[in-house]
Order: sequence, then structure tokens, then C-alpha cells
Amino acid sequence: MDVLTAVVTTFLIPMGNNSIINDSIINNTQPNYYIDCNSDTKLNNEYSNLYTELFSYRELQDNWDGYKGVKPSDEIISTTERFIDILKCNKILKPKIMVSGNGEIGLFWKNQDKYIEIDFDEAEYLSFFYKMNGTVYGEDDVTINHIPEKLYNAFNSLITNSSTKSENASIISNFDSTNPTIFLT
Amino acid sequence: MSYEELLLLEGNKQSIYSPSVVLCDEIIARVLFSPKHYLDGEVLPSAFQQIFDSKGGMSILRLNYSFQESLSKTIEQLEKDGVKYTGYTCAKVKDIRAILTEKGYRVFYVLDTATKDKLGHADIFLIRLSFEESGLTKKAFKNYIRFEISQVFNELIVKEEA
Repeated sequence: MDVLTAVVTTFLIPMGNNSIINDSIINNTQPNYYIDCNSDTKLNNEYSNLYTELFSYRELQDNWDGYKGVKPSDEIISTTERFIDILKCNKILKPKIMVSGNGEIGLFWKNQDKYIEIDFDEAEYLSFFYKMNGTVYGEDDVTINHIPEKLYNAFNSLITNSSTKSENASIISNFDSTNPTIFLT
Repeated sequence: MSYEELLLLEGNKQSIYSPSVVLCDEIIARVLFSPKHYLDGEVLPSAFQQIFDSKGGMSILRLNYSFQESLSKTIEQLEKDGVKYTGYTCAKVKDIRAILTEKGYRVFYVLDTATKDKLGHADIFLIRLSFEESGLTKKAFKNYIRFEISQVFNELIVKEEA
């Protein structure tokens, strides 16, 4: 595997077929939807330390960063957890995670000059921005019930703009990126 | 103050203790007190949240002026509150001043805010006007700017036992 292929591959963990994607249980007809991807051992292993880091934020003390930082609320942690579940079930590469002194939690992906960040500062909602090839785009306070179309397309761009695609990367390129509700059952 | 007036401040000493205005070729440091603020050898955007939350600026130290002494005093002051110093991250002032909105407006200005105890103290201030000129939604812009400033702090010095 050459270096570029390796980089591209790291953006996606091995994916199944479209039927698996459509089997992702994100039922937005229920107020408290439930996603069950827990039977996928490889996914669980890939994501496990992300959850561990997320839950560690519960243990932060007041002024944890020396600059009067506060810890994230339980609602923010729960909202982030649920969106990570969505990412995991859609087999999107595990993001990195960070916490801010104002109690906001962020997920991000960085690949050379491309960057995507999703932030959680309010229960049930996310904000995001991405920078791709010099273009910056963002949206505020979007429901976490599905991956926003622009964000979804940005995930695709991380792959399709690369000169080399991995086999796994081509699978996400076959998604109907114009229809974000593909993730809903 | 207007955008132009804020930028003019950079050309005048702001403190009687200040050795000089902050020059573009200087290097400044942001002191870190949590390992949550860096990962894989890079400082994270989240380490710069204070620039939005603080009513003043975001404290930094100038490497050219009593840096070790100022660093020691900063550590001493903040560790009294129970936190542990974990390191610092550095940037060139000219790179901070080069962060622009899409329309070419500066986002930050950097002032010498020396104190009697810390001659090398300075602050990075956010130009609020830049929000309106960005063409982005408010939260997206804030987080984008936080990302941009993290990119210019491209040197990370972590305390060995941190």
C-alpha cells in the first residue's frame, strides 16, 4: 500500500455494501432513536477509544484548562455520543475529538489541506464547517438526526478529490450524496 | 473603536512596562495547562477557545522578553488554582496578523500588555467586526477561525512529565 492510499484508507474503515448502510437504524420517527451497530466488533474496536475519551470529559473539574474552563454538560456529551454512533453505523472513519474550555465538544478530520469539524454546544444540535481546496462552508445548529447533505458531500470530497482511491473509498463514492436521508430507515 | 482604530493600536505601546510594540517578526507562546489541548504532537483548535470567551484578549508571552521568567510566574499563578502546567505552543506574530476573512479583513490584532511582573506579556484580541464580514454563519466562523489560529501555532513544547 503506498502512502497516499494509506492516507485515503484511514478516512474510512472497511465498509460493507449499500444494504448494510440502509440497515443502519436511525429512525427519526421516534424521539429517542436507537442505533444498533454494537454487533460489529471491528467497528467497536475502531471507535472504542473515541468513546473512552468522550466519557472522560465527565471527570473534568472546574478550571480544568487553567483558564476557567468548564466541563461539557451531560446533554452535550450525550448528543456527541449519539452522533458518533451515527458516524460509526455509517462506517465513516473515526474522527479525532477535542473539548473546549466553554464545554463545547468537537470532532474533526484533517487530511492535508482538507479539514472538517463538527461541534456540539447545544443538546440535539451540531454545527459544522469544512475547508476544502480553499473553500470554507459551514452551518449552525443542525439537528443531529442525520448527516447534513453538505457535510456528507464533504466526507465524499475527502476521498474523491484524491488522486488515488482505495477500494473502500470507492464505496462511499457510490452513495447517493444528494439524498442525506439515505441514512434513515 | 473602528476596524482601522483597532489596528492602529498595534503601532503604539499599550503598557508603561512594555519594552516595545509587538513586531511581526516576533514569536509568541500560549501556555497550556491541560493535555486535552494537544494530540499527536499538535495543538488542537479547542486550545484557543478563550479568545472568544474572554472579555479581554487571549494571554500570550513574547519569547524575546524575559520569557522564562514570565513563564515561571504564569505557571506559579495558575498552579495555585490546582491545574498543572503541561507545556506551551508558539506562533509567529506575522502569521497571526495574516489571518484574514474572505473579504480581506484582519481577524486578530496583537498588543503588548506587559505587567510589572511579566514584561513579555501580550494579548491576542479578536476583531468582532470580522464576524459580519466573514460570509459564514456565526458558529461556523468562530470555529473556523479557531482552527486557523491553531494552524499558525505550529510548534508545541510539552513538559516532559506531562
